[in-house]
Amino acid sequence: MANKPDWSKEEQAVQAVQMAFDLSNDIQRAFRVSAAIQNMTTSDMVRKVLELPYQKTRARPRLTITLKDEDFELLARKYGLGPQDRATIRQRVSEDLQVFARNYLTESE
Amino acid sequence: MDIQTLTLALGDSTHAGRRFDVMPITGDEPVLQVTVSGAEETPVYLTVTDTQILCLAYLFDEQELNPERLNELHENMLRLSVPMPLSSLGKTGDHYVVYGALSPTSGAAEIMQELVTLAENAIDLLQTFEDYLA
Repeated sequence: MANKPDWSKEEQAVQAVQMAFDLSNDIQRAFRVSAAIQNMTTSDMVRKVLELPYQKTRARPRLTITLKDEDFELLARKYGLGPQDRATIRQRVSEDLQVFARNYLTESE
Repeated sequence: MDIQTLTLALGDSTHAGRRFDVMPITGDEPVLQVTVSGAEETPVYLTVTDTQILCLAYLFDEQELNPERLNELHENMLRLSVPMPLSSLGKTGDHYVVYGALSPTSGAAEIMQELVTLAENAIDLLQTFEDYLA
């Protein structure tokens, strides 16, 4: 490109927006991670940092997944089971989640 | 319209039934992160220069795209950019963006119209270009 016009001020503005976007992503990630570690919701974590009233811990932390018909079909194929064999599929899902958690905790240590 | 006036104006206003959550982000140049109600997943970043008010929403990064379909995506982006109301498509660094620019003398109503339109366009574009993601 020859004789590019001087838009350096505008380029600075674009750069500033880029930095703001990166920063807000980093902030969001920091709050999500710290909230998860402290077993809190992200919005409660924000309230804690701002020293506003917040719930100390999640009322009942749970790990649930709602499986739809098409999920059962995909999982049945993955495990080599029939889609109607939902009890076994749920059992295998539970085992997979436990394996993930065990590996994750080992890696984090 | 300067950033401070705009922050106050947006915080107290609704436009077409939409509210605006404004988060100032400090840096060399002040930038506002504006979340439009009903379009929370696509926040709009706004900055004011001597020559324009620049509003920008991020769509996706180059790394998220299927490299084999990149040319086709670019062609479609260029074609779609013309009829799209009040917004255009572009790229900053590795990020594909949708943006709109207004005159620095624009009033709050025009800026709010731009913010609502841009946030809605961003959601529509994310759906439109879903197939190009890797």
